Amino acid sequence: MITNEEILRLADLAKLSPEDVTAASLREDLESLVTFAGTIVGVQAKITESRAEPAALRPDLSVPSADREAVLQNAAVTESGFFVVNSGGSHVHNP
Amino acid sequence: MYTIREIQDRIMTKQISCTELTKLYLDAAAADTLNAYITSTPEHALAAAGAVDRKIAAGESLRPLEGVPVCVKDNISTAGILTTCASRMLEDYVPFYDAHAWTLLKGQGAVLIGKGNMDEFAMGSTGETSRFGSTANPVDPRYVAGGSSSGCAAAVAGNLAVCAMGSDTGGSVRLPAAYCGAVGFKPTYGAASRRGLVAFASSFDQIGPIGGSVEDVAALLDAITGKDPGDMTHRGLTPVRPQLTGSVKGLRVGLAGEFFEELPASVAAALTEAVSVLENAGAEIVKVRFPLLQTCLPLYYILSSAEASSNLGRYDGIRYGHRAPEGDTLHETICRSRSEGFGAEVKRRILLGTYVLRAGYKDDYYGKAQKLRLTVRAELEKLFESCDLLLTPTVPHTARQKGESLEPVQTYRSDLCTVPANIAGVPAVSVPCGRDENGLPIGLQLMGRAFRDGLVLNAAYAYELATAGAYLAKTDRGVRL
Repeated sequence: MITNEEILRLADLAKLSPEDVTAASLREDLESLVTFAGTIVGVQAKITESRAEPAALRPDLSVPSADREAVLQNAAVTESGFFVVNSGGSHVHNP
Repeated sequence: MYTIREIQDRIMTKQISCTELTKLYLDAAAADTLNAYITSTPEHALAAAGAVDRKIAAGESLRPLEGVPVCVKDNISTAGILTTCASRMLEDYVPFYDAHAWTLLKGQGAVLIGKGNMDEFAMGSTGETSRFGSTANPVDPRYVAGGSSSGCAAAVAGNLAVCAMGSDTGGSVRLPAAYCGAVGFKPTYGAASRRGLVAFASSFDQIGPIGGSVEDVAALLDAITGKDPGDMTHRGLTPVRPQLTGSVKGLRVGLAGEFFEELPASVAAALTEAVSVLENAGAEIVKVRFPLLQTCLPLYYILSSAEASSNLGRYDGIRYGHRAPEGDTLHETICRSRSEGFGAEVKRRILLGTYVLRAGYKDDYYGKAQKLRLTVRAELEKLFESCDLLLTPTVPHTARQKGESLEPVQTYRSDLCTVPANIAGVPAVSVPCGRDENGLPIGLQLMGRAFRDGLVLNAAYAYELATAGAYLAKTDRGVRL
């Protein structure tokens, strides 16, 4: 059983509105999904170490970035060539 | 369904110009009641078609995909064209760059008819989680097209495109291909670049082709697996089209009983018949075991949801995407934007992913699932010592009726046979192998070792030749030439 406190904490971590996640159907769905996911608990993992594969790396070069206007074109709110976060009120989030 | 060869023959022999052909596909897509497309792209399509006609007029020959009408799934970035992922979150999003696979396909002269409908952010197996309405099955529109590449499969089977480029994270190319009676292929992980494919679960996602024949799927695959230094997981692939000999003599085809439990009678019968076809063609049938099959589903959903919760963290409404009216704090604005922008299935998976990654739970779920993933990979590798290919149903049932109400976990069970290939990163193809009692297509899946994509496709090709393509979708819909 997922408690109210847990689901609100999940909402905060997932950056979803609390009203969303406290809806009965979403909560029930999540509980059944967690139960479903929990079926792996009893399964034995025979292999626990990954074979190391070398990471593919790019050359360490400085290259031009994307065009500023192109990057900004999909933002709902921009100002003087910048993205705009909350325009007023506190920016501080106290979980 | 028309093949690439049929289309190009008609263009080359001037029975029809590429521009006229393209207009037929655009008109059919516009009149379409299947809801296969989210965005139609007539400007791009006609410009590409015009270029093909000028080549023909100059007496030049066509490259393998030149002039071919294609559908591209709407989670594959197309510069200057809406790429919505079938979500309110991105309903106005226009990328400023092309996905590498699309750059390659476009560079081959393919003609983009439109962006294919899909399950939202590729999360779903029915096509019903789209913001823009579900896609119907061209064989019988009372049934779903399957997902998440619902529009791509429906477009191909419904003669609204000749072939399509979808994406497959847990079966999203193979399942809708199976439901609609087309051929769908998930390449080896790393065969095609993922750059520009909107990320869902990055260690599972692969772009894959859907077509009206194995040859067409092979041609499309060869077009999109070109080198990309922009994707560090990309390895490329040896061309597969030259490997289509049509011979399966001596090929060892494995049957694992775990995949055949509790199948509907029509699916079981079709698979049994398919096994006989391959055996008569010279393949050796080998009994193998895959006891971890049932574990694959929860394992896949834990890992893919964890990766999705991370990947979809980028959608905050600030740099792109849906932005809600401002809250008191930035956090509130972001939460509202995401809650308004995402549909229910996406939110479920984000929450599940967040849950399994929480401190204190991570080792029980995510850590355990990662270890089990290694075990599943090892089991499949061991299985492939006894056989060259594994034969399974693509889906343990046929298409469901639209609107059928199912619990999420019940819906997830449709992915039982497809997720092992994504977990292990191996190639897998779905070809039609029969019809159920309602006339709905049944899919046969063949899975092989990593980077043996050519072997997998060749076996599918041999099957298609042996059955003369009898089970490929034939509908009265769409373009008729």
